[in-house]
Amino acid sequence: MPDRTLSCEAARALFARYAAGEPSPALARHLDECDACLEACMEEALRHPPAVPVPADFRERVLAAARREHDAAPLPGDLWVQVTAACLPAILGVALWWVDPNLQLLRQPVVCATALGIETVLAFVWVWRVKNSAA
Amino acid sequence: LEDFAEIVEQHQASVFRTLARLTGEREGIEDLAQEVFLRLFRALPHFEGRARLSTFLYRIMVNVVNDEWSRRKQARRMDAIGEAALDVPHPAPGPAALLERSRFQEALDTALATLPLRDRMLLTLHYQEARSYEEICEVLKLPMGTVKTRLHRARERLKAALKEWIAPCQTAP
Repeated sequence: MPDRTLSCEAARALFARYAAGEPSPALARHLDECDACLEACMEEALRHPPAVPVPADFRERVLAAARREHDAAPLPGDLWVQVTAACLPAILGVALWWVDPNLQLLRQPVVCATALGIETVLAFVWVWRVKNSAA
Repeated sequence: LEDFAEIVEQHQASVFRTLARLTGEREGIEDLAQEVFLRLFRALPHFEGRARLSTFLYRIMVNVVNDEWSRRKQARRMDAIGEAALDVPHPAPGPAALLERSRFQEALDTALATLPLRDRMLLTLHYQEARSYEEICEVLKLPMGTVKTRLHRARERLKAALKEWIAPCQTAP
């Protein structure tokens, strides 16, 4: 049986002050015995949490961090440059073999130098983009 | 970035409030709140708008708090085996925070801390954030029946924990 010194109505009128920290042994006694009031008091406290201050500079801090991340994000083309650089030797090899199955062309310095030149340029482009995206 | 700034402005109070409830802390949650918004920032280009932004944010909050708990658990384990003396705050509120807060709210936070994170989120979303059952289902990826059952159980467990706290208060001055 709920504590008779306090009716449910009177108990509920005390909830807000009790939930805010004011001690009330009579209300505590009532809540210990009245499930409905305890639940109501609990719900009241859950609905109205103590204020949590947001630091004044919080928004600016988040935006600064987001800006840093945004600037450091990899360029969308990076993946394609990497895939192309990785595939190019194979593509060049197949193309050469297609044109010249006996690979006589590879014995000509001009062809070799051109292939190496293309590979070197692509490697430089790749390194440059990776460096820039990580800055 | 301008749109993102507006989102931060609009949701920061709710994020701080929810994180405070989930962690039982009032101070030192700025880092967690920042992590929540940064994860949102990273995910925004893929956000299709099928769910509400608030739903998306609540889901991120659950993940961030989960990760933080794992990190602290790991850090405590490392501390226990003497590999490093890490200064990791315990999930329970510190003495300064306890003094500043009301005792009933403190008891509520202590009782909440005994529940699993998912149940804490359930109670927080339902009561504090006044979210609909549908939205809670979406945030926690649970069916409606499960949400209602778990909410009922969580409420009962919270009530039992609060009763334990109330008993000694009956003779308090």
